[in-house]
This record gives sequence, structure tokens and C-alpha cells, in this order.
Amino acid sequence: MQTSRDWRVSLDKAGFMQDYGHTYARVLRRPGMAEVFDATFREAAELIEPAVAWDTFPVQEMRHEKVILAGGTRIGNGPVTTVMGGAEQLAIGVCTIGPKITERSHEHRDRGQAVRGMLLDQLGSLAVGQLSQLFYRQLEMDAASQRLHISTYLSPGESEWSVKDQAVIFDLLDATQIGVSLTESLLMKPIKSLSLMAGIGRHPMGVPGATHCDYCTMADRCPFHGKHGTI
Amino acid sequence: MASELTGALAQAMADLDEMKVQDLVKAGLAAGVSPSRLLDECREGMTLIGERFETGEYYLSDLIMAGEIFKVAAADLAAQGGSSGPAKGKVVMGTVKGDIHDIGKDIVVTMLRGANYEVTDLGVDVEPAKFVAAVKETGAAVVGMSGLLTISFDPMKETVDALKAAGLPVKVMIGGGPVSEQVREYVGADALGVDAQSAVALAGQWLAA
Repeated sequence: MQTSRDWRVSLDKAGFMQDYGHTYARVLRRPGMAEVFDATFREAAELIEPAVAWDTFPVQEMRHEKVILAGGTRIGNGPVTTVMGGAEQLAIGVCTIGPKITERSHEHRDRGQAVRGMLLDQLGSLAVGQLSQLFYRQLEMDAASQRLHISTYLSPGESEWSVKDQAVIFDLLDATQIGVSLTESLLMKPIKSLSLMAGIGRHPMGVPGATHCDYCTMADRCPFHGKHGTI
Repeated sequence: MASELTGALAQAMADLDEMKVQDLVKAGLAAGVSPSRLLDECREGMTLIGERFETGEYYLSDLIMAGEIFKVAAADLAAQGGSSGPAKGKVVMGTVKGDIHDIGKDIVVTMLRGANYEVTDLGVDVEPAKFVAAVKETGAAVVGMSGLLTISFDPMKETVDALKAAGLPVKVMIGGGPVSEQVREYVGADALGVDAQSAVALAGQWLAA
């Protein structure tokens, strides 16, 4: 297993305002709020502690919805084999930005600064989304350097792929090395963490151009739909 | 002054004009308008805010800011003896066992309180037994359960089952990102609250009956 804390997550306010500014238009008319926004972006940048733990696992075979890894571990259901069918190995990773943004968000809300707390929480969600994109780009580059293809990635619980496979992922990876643990209810802590999996192989996999957002069961409600990693 | 005030404070609240809300509250008190009357105006404003959110004019951030403005005004008026009289009813709210997301749940709590419901907020990661105990203790007729993850569905079902097993005649609403009508059916809840305003509307329907 590899770990890295060397990730450049960048919370660009101009990009954020382009995507989400309209939802804060009235809030920003409040006296002093523009300064609060600037301070919250600075605060977020200081509190993010990006880290990723990952490994690759040889695929033994694929059976219907399940991937059987060498050694017998079974993983996947929902769209996993549709997206990763033909993969010779699976890259599996856990990304986190650490607990500090969530903790500070609660502090703001406890002090009655609910808007600031919500903004900071939203920035945390965007930051971990961006980190997952950065990690995936690295996987893409690693695959390309070996003349291999990579599928799009999926996360358990985000599509019809059951969240129960979080337990399988955490059996395969010791994410505690980057400070991430799994609760009994399969919730990752720190909460601003994401797990993901992609197939790697000699031939293209899945539907060309499709991303994890295309398989997401919350696509019609997710405020970040199609926007992860764009700030 | 009282007639001038009629509607103006509710409108300022609905427009999220914080300065105007504060000025109108001060002016109203100085003119002898009862704090309770002013508080009712603020609540009317919160209702208008909910309606604007429902039509898509307002966003989540507007609801949250409204909650901040309302809390300050309500605290000031309560300190002056303001009260809206008996609450419209009692609601128990919580994020279910295994989930610790709370922003959505907090918004619903704020909007319900803004609409003059007495809300017992159990927080996050709430065991079914805690919901049951809170309903028994408060006599609440409505329970709201929140969950942002698919892992929330089973704890929601367990909670509904526990409330039924305890023989408590409560109406249950559920809400949260992945919650759908199919989930509501699986869980056995009475209704799905797609957002904070619909939660307020559901409480209104059930508690007015």
C-alpha cells in the first residue's frame, strides 16, 4: 500500500463563485459577508490536510456483478463490472482532507455563524472531491506510462454499488495510516473522506466519456453533480 | 405605529434585510408594540422565506441566513417577554444511528422552530430507543428523521419499528440526500420531506388535524 500527503488542493474563490455564487447572492449582500467569505476561503486552505492511501490488486475473474481479486476477495455490485469489466487489476484508494474543516464548521455553527459553517463544510466537500480527481489523474498517468487503460472510478454507496463494500475496501487498505477509519455503520471518519476504485487493463473499459457522476443515484439532487474537482 | 408595522417586519424578514429587521424590532418596542406581536411578525417572515425556497427563489444559504437573523431577533424579543403563545405542536428530530451529518437536520429544526413548533433536537447518531424515549417524554406527535447516506435506511426502519412497537401514535417523516419514495416505503415512514419547507408543511398538516 502506498500513502501520500503531497497533493495540491486549491480552493479558488473565483471558480467557486462561477459555479455556486448565485446561491450566495443574497448572503453576500449582508454587511461584512464578503469579508467573511474571503476569511472562510483562507481558513479552508489552512485546514485542509490532503492524504491518500491506495494500492492495486490483480483481478482473478469477474462473475456477473462481482470482481474476484487474486486471493479470493470479492468486491463490487451495481455498475462495477459494467464500468470495470475487462480490468486486469483494480486500483483502490481512500482520500481524505482530514477532520479540521468539519470541526471548525461545527465551531462556527455553535457560535451562531451558521452560514460560515455551511460554507466551510461545502468547501470541505469540494476539496475532497478535488483530491479524488487529483488522485484519479495520477492513476491515469501511471496507467498511461505503462501503456495501460483505466476505467472511470466509482465509490461504494454513490451509485447502486452497495456501501457495504466499504468494509471490503478497509480490509484491503489500512487507511488508518492516513487517519481514516470506518465506523460500524460504514461511515468514514473523518467525514470528508472518499473511497474509490477504478479498473486498469490493456483494453478500454466501460462507456467512453462516462464518469462516476453518470452512475450516481443522487445525480438529480447533488449540488456537486458534474462539478467535483472544478474549483 | 402598530399599523405601520403590520407586514413590514415580516416583509423585512422575508427579504433577509437584517438591518431593517433590527430597526423595526427596536422601533416597534419603542412604540409600545408587544414583543409577542413582533415575534409573530418574524415568524410570518420565516413562513414567507420557506415559500420562496419552495418556489426556487431562495437557496439553502438563504434559509440558513434566515435562521441566523430569526434567532437573534427572537432572542431579543424573548428577553423583552415576547412569546408567540403555545407552540403549534411538538416535534422530535434527529439524524439516525450511524450517521453524523447534521446541516440538513439543523435547517429543518430552525424552520420548524421559526414556524412556532416546539422541537426536541436529539442531534446525530441517534439510536431508535432515544427517539422512543424522547417521544414518550415530550408527548411529541411528529418525529423527523434525517440521513445523508444510504446506510441510514436500516436505522430509519428500525426507528419506525421501535416507535410502532412502543405503541406511540406518532407521524414519522424522513429526509436527506438519498431518501426517496421507495426508501420511505421500505422504512415505513408516513411521509418524505424533500426539503425543510415540506417538513414544515407536513408538521402543519399533521398537527392541525
